[in-house]
Amino acid sequence: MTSANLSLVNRIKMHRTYVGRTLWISLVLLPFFAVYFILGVIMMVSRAINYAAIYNQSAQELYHEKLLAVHRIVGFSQIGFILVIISAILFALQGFSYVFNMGQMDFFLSQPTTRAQRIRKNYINAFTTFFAIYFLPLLISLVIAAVMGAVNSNIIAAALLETMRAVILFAAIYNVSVLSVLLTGSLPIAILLTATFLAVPVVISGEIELYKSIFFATYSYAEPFNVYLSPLFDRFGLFFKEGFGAYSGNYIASKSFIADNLKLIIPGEADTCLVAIIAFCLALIVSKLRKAEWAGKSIPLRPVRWCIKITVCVLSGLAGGLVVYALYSAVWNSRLYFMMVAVMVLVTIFVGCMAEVIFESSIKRFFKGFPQTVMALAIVVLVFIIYRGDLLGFDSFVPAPEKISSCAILNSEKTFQRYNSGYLVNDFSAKDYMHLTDTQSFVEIAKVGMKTQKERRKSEQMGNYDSLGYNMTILYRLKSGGEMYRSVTVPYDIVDDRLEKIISSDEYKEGSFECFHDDDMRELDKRAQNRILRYTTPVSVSETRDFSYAEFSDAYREDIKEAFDFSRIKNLMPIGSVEFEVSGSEYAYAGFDIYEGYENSIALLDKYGIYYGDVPGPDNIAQIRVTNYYPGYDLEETDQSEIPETVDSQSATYYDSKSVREILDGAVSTSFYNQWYNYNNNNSQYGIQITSKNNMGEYGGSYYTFIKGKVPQFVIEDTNK
Amino acid sequence: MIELIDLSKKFDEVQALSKVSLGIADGEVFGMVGTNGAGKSTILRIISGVIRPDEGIVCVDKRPVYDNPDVKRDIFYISDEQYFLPGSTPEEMADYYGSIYPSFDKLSFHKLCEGFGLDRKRRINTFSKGMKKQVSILLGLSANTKYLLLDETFDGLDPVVRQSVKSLFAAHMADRGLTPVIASHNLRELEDICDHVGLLHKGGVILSQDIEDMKMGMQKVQCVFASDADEEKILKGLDVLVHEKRGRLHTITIRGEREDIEAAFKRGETVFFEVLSLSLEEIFISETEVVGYDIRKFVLG
Repeated sequence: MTSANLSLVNRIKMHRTYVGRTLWISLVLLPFFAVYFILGVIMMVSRAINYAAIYNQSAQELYHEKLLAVHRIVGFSQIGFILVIISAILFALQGFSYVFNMGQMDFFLSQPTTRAQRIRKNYINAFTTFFAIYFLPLLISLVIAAVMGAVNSNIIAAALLETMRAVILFAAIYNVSVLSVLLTGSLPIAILLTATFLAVPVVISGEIELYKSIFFATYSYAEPFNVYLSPLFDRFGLFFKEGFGAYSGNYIASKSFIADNLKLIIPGEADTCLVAIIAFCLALIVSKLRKAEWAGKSIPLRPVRWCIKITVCVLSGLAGGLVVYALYSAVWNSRLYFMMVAVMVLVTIFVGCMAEVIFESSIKRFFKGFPQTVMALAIVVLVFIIYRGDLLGFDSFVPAPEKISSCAILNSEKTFQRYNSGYLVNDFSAKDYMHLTDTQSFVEIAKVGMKTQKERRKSEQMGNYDSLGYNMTILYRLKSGGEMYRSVTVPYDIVDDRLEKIISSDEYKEGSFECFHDDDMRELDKRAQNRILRYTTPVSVSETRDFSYAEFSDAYREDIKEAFDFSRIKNLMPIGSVEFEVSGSEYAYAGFDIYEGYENSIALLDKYGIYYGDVPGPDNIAQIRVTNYYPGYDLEETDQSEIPETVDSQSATYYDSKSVREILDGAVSTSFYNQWYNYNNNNSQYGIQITSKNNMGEYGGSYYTFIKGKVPQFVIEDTNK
Repeated sequence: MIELIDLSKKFDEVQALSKVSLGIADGEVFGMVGTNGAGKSTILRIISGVIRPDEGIVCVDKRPVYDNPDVKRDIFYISDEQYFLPGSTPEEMADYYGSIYPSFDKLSFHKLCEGFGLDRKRRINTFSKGMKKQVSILLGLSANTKYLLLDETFDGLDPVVRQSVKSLFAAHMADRGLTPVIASHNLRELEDICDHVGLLHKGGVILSQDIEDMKMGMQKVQCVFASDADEEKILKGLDVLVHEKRGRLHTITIRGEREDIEAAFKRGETVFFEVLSLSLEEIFISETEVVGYDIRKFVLG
């Protein structure tokens, strides 16, 4: 009986035997997927049920929690993609590892198939096997979740989309790994090359960003960290950055859940798809070039080997420079740039030598292959020169106003902090809401700001940390579609007229103050059980539960519109702060600074019975203790660096209303922060501790300092004895 | 028929094959002898389509072999480094080959396994080296391909198995015209199996001849001449390849037909004269010495 007579069943059986014998790794991976999906869903849902039982959650809350639990395992926020990455690498290594061994090459390539058929067969086996070991446990887990009442249409849609993402990710990693295998002749080198291919895009982007932060004074950390052609970053980056909104209220059950999350994942998936396609095409090309006799060699294609060596050398050399900076950043000065470049050169040479040793598995190759090392060195030094000399004009380039569609001033401070299940769920950013169209004024501010920022960087490297102006991150949205972020220091007083135009504009206010975009908070306030509105001044605190957040927000909005002007605010510090807090199934906190002139808010606080005036008067102050940190010196005249560190501070305490009044006239609170206040106006030589007659005294009082030139003479005399 | 025409192959700086031309006729056992690195495996890999030559042509029944499944269906290659699917048994390997070679005869494989005392259900990785070679040979024979390429497969097989395999080859050659091509670094391993031997050295073919033709065309004579004049008279005109003398006993290897040589010896008087049979080894030594090689150094161990 010859096999020409074999039935289809027998042929399928043989195919299964082949897959079982050649892709045995699937048998290892299947239990992991099964444990992740099936056991994961069972455990997470039962945990939610137990939690609900302990904390008496309503049926609706329990349902929501169960959906969240399943979503964490099968939905957008799953971590099963790590198993997908591992599977792809193992399948590629397993399926194509025959190219590393001449015996296996003889076995497979002598069989009556073409190379193309063999590769196609490997691909089909890998993809079908992967899909089976991924989808079957997923399907079972969804059935279990459905039985446990933890599935809705969004969960199923998310699971299906995740399956698609898993296939795309698998395709990308698999193709990259196959390409690595086909380019190499041994397993260890193939693994190293796979790791290199996967890591290089992230390392390149990371090094570019770090070098920008080191060399460019106007670099802003708000600049998005973009990595292209990196499936790993596409997945991990999104995983750590986004909560996929699932924890926000009942969002997981909302109609927009899938559509919103699709918008989030599509750019990354497109990038991953691109990697899959490029790697696949390259793998096809290399498979045609590959010769059987490459088995056992490291990277036989010389141009590829050179490219890889140069890339690794350059990235390592640049990393060496970063290590030097990291070690010396606290004491950085211009001379250390020489050390930096020296280390970069040494690391490049060393890695070049080591690369040869690894490629040839021979220590004798240590001093070989210098042409590529020299090329790498040239690139490293060129990169250093470009950054050091700012040859690309990063710190000087300001786009022409007519080329800017709008601008924004980004403030990292958030008004609202909202948590659900321990996760911060609100992500307000002025970037999304602020569209300043007075580009002419903005550019003028930016130019001055960039110049001052460079001075500030130099000054800080000299150890001088004096405030030179308002520090801020600015964003240009260019008409060409690009975005530019810069960190600037706008000097005090110089461009106040332009700042007045910008900061006092409605565009700035509505883009900067979160209270203009607080619909979610208003909704939360309506359904919240535990809510507090608290008014805090430097000397008092009072709170109420009988209030309406929406009413307060409306009043505050009006005050911002009417009373928040740059020219006025820059000379004031907040007189108090309103805190709004909600707790229960969700926790939210918000803080609103109250300035003198915020009539609507003050009137409302008064109506709620929690407003007790702004500035503490002599009548309700028990004592004031003034501390001079540098007795014998006058910081208004003397530079702080000239004062010995060993000087002992000296204090004086005042009880009489006359002294108290005089001190209060020259004091400014340091309990609050005003972004637009010129802190250089304050005399940091003195610390003022006010203890009021009310209960604040129990907590040690509140803290003030003097405005420059307003230190009472008797204080100077009393604290300089 | 397998034809190799001006095959050249270079591995980096090493010239593995240099202008190799060989013809392997159907229905004969072709032995390929040479030292390690002589190019035997490279030739077998080229014939089986594993590697592509840099230059030259290899045709199997007038068809190019590289990446040509139709031709490869006629070839079964057993590598020096035999590979079996991980954890597989002979039975599973038979199934696997059955799905690849349409003419694979599983029934025959079962019988052969029984005959050789191989357990079909036992994992091959638990077999001894010789048993693995047996499995490979039996799989190769059961594939029923026209050509069976064996790289060092016979080296180390015990005499009983060698004899059995030899018989199997003979049977398959008679039944279906099998052409085995056997490579070995040791001439003695091939002596009793091959019909035709190609001798390779440093990537080139030193000679390729039919063994019977070689034996027929070369004679070894032991004799004692009556006188020096008789010696001169007899040897005049004969193609003497090797002439050794111990005392008065002469051992002479002469190229030529037996009858012609016997006739030449009748021209003079001998005290003693006998035509001895030449071993393959002696034929090779004689032939290669003529072209300037001492094969004792590289293929006779």
